[in-house]
Amino acid sequence: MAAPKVAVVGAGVIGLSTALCITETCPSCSVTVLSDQFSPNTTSDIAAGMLIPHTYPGTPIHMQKQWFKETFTYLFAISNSAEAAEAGIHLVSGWQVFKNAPKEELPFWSDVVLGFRPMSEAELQKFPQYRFGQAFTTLKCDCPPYLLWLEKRLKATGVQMYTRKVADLWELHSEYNVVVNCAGIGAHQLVGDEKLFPIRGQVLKVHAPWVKNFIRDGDGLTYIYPGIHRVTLGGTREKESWSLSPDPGTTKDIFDRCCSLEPSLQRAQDIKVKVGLRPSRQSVRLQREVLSQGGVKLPVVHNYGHGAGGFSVHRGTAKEAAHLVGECIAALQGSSSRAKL
Amino acid sequence: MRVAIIGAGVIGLSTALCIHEQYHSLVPSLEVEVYADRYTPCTTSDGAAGLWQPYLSDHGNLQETLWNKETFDYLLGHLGSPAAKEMGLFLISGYNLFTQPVPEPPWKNIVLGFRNLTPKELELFPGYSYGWFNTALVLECRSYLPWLTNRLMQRGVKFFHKKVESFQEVSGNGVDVVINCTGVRAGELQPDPELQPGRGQVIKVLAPWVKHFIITHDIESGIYNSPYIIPGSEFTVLGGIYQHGNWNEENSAQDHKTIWENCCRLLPALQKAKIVQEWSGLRPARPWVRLERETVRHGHFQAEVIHNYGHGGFGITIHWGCAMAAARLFGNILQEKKLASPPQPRL
Repeated sequence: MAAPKVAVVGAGVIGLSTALCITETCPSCSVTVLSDQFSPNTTSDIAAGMLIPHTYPGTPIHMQKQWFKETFTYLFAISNSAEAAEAGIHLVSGWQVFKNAPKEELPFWSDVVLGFRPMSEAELQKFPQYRFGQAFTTLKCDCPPYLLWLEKRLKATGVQMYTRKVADLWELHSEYNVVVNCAGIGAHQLVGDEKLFPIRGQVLKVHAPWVKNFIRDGDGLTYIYPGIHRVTLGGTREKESWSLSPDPGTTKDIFDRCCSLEPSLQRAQDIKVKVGLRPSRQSVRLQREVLSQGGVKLPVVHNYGHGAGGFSVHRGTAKEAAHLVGECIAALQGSSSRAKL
Repeated sequence: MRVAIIGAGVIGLSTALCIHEQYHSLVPSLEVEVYADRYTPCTTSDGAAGLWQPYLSDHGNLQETLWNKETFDYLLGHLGSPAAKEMGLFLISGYNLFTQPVPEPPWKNIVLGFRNLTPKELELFPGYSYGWFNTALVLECRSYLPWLTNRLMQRGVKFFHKKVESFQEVSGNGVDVVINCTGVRAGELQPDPELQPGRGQVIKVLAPWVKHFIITHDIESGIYNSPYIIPGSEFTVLGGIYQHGNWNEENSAQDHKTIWENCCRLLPALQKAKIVQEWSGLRPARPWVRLERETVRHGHFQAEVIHNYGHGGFGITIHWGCAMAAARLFGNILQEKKLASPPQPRL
């Protein structure tokens, strides 16, 4: 098969990083990215992009750890290079604090991030309502810069990107040999996955450049993540809410909770309110499927459902998806050579 | 009771505030004045990045370590206050890097979360095989000095823009106590061969993705002569120059090259950073801080002088402890003049 044609649906962090991995593992492939939204209008653009994993109940821990480790290692190298600023990747240190003892003393990712250790008594004094804490250094992927950097690298390898709303994966069967579904929350409609549901997150992006450390409440609801130009204050976790409109009451609530963790935020300026729908699922759907109609087959690789943990595992799942694409192509080449006999 | 503070850097203004805060209610006649030829943003303090960090060793000078701790704890206490941003005060974490293992510093328990670097962290810094991580504070004098000035003005402290040529000039004018916070040029008021300029140069860049301070150390070249990167609230300060005995306040192209190349080697992404400003200043270096009383006599006049200068590259780090110590010396003077003694019983 000359230059297998691969379509990647979705241009958030999952779609773009998957497309990039496919160009790396299959240099002869012709890769096209199709999406109704590109940065700065993807779900990924709303997220803070912190590398702090979310645990998927339906995925084995060793696999989640592998995905996280691959992602961390990949970004660690970029953060240490001349491209760090353009790619929006930077190290950030801080604290995760708990009012009650955390379920696990050592999360599965504690040896992947840098310098993980319990907080000292003196450090905890800064958080009078909290009794336990963990200090560590991790990475942050600022968006839009990271997505724009991925797009730039894709274009450099000849990948085409088109704004197009794909209503049904099958509509691509005549133009492409393999389709990769990185539609995120869009997969609910695109492939009718009832197991995929939104967890609505509202965040504030504020100007507070003196905040250099992250602070996160172990309950995952309140967090302060300093980015390159803005600090992301969060947040909410509203299951099954599809509303993309910012809620003013929620804004005040988030602001108050964050100021209670970091009082200097009272002086934050230029508050922008954003909403994103985490594409949540018991486990990431990372698998092959073959669609067929009237004797015609279309191999599909699904890579969606990363919920709150997309950035943390994006490179690891992208590599696995690229590997599955390789398998699809090998299967196609095998059957086409059999057809020649 | 008239008190004149000479010098309006971090030492002068904080000493003035400390004295006024502690004694204005005890001494109704207290009048505090500040005299300086340079005010913010033109003082030595203004050019400093403002990172709280003492030298690696206190050379047995426990007094200075205590003053450093006093300052850190005082600033830490202000972190949660609404004034923190106005003061230019914030927490920051970061790295100290070495080419060989070194003893732990006397301030290891003063800062927060002090620990050694892990091997993976050291991968970030090729050429360095040992280091520390801790959380400390930045106090930016571009904000702190105006904040101190506002507090002082609210308290009725008067400011004079003039170069004081001698203690007599001020004491002969009816001032009872002179506080000498003249920094690197203290020798012009009274010769002090121990006081030497420690010239530094810095480049200020826009690099908002840098969230940690990085201080490298080269035991051979000495303190501050090895590259350092200190993020501020707006700009990131690149430095690594310490020239003992050099009075030149002009920027040097050679020093610029040294700083730029060394810092870009440390953090390659800095190559893309936009340069916003370049500045040179003279650290008031002395083997130890001169913080003591002296009675200065000239003809019939005599004045009580409290010296508070010679804070080298750690003025911001030590300022509040020294201000409190100077205020204590001032209290002694008041007691001697029977101005702060307990009220007499009415008969």
